[in-house]
Amino acid sequence: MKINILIHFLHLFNFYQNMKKQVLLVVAVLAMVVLTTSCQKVPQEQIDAAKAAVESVKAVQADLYVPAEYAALQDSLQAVLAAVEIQKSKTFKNFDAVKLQLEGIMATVPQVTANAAAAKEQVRIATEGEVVAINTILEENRVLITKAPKGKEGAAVLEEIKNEMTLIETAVAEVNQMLANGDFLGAQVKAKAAKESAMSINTELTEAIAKVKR
Amino acid sequence: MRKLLKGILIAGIIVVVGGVTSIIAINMKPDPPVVEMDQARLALAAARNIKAETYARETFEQARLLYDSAMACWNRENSKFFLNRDFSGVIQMAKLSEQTSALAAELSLKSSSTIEATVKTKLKYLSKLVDEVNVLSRFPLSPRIMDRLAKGKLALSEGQAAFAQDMLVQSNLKVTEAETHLEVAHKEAYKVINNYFGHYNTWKSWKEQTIRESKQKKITSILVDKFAGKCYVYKNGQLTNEFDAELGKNWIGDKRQKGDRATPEGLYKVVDKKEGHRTKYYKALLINYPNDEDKKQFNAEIANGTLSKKSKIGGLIEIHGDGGKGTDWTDGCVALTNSDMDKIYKLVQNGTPVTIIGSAVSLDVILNDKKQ
Repeated sequence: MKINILIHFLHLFNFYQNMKKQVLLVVAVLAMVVLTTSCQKVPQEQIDAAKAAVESVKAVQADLYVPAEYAALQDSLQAVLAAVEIQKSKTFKNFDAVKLQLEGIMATVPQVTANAAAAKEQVRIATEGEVVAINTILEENRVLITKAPKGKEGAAVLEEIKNEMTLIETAVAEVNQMLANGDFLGAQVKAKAAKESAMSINTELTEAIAKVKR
Repeated sequence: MRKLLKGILIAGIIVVVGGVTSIIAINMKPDPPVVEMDQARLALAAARNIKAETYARETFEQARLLYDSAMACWNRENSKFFLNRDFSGVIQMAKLSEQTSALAAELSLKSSSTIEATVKTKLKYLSKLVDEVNVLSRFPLSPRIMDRLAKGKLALSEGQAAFAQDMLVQSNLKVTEAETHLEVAHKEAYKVINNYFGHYNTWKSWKEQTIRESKQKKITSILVDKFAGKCYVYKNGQLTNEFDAELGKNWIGDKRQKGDRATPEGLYKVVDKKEGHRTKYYKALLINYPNDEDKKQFNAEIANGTLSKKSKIGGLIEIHGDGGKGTDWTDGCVALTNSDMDKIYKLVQNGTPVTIIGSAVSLDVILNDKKQ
């Protein structure tokens, strides 16, 4: 009995020796299939490039000047990063879709950057225009002050107006400083307020002069 | 042939066993937290869309950090052998991030609407305050008050401009700055003017007394109304002349000492008539400032320390010519135009009563008139 078992084992061993090549071939083919399908590499370089690109968009203040476009870009990047993890969780990884999405982000970045720069430039030009307008109104106001009635109350009003004019001039200097520092949105608000105040003085003086002429 | 069949059979067994093992292993593998992470990301984006970054900054930042931590944890778990992965931590953080984002969104809505309502209320209140201060600023006020008023008005204007551009935080800051300046300006201006008009009843009785005496004694009397900037002449109780008068630069204050450029209030009389080389202001009517009441007041102030012991009471208060400059410029005298001076000079003599009052009209009446 023991001899039979031994003979059978030897047969099996011989069979294994003979079939070794074929079995190894099958295993190798299986391993190749698994390796090619499950070990697709994470497109790390593209991911890093996309992250840097989105950061560069923030550096040109896209979050302030084109907030909706910037938010959409950020959302897209977050979605892609999540998609990367989803693929990494899978046995058979496939980053083809992720790569396409990353390419999409990279293609959008220059557009958002250009839009932010354009919006910023528009605010800058508009604010510089406001500064020119304010200076013109201030100049006009200085002439009107010399023509304004200086009665008892007039003197007090003129004193107040001169005070306000000085503050508006200071505000204009601040606007110019803000423009030089690149704070165009802050400058725009300040310039609008200064223009409003200068205009209100202009109206007050014009009305006072007209009243006296009547 | 038999060997080949055996080989195929064994290879088949290996493939089947391997396949079954793989299927079992894949089924045992934990599911990635796709849904939870998607929901967390969408909640974060929704919170950002309603400006939670601005109006609920801290809470939004917490939500963002939780999301980033969940992503980092997911990444860490993915780097482990697939059977060792555990996404429960990722799921927990993703859910917490989603909840925090929702909270940030809610806080942002509440905060922005609260700021908006606050700014709207303040803008309305400050516009009214500016109107009131504008009325008060018609009085000569100190440069400090005028500066506050101008700064307040400009800050208010900036607040309005920021509000129009939906920059609520900046608008709130500017409006609050405007509120500080304007409230101080309003309070101080009102205090100054209210103090000034605190003597109104005395002025009223002086005016009545002056007109009554002019009538009873059949004399000419002069009444100077500082607030109106007028000099009136009464003869036998009847108003005969009215002249524009210019006063000391600080006319609104009481005259307390020499050099304060205030025009005194009180019951005086002409003590000297000057013309030619005796005056540098065309013609002048010197009055008896300081009178007994002025001296009493001055000494009281020296005694209680509100005036320095070195202070002097001053004098040489006149009604004189060279007026018509359109502003209050004298050192405390009352200036008329030279032609008006000619007229008044003829009407008065030494001893003619000169009453100087702060105002013949009450503050309430003045403010109502100005508002209209």
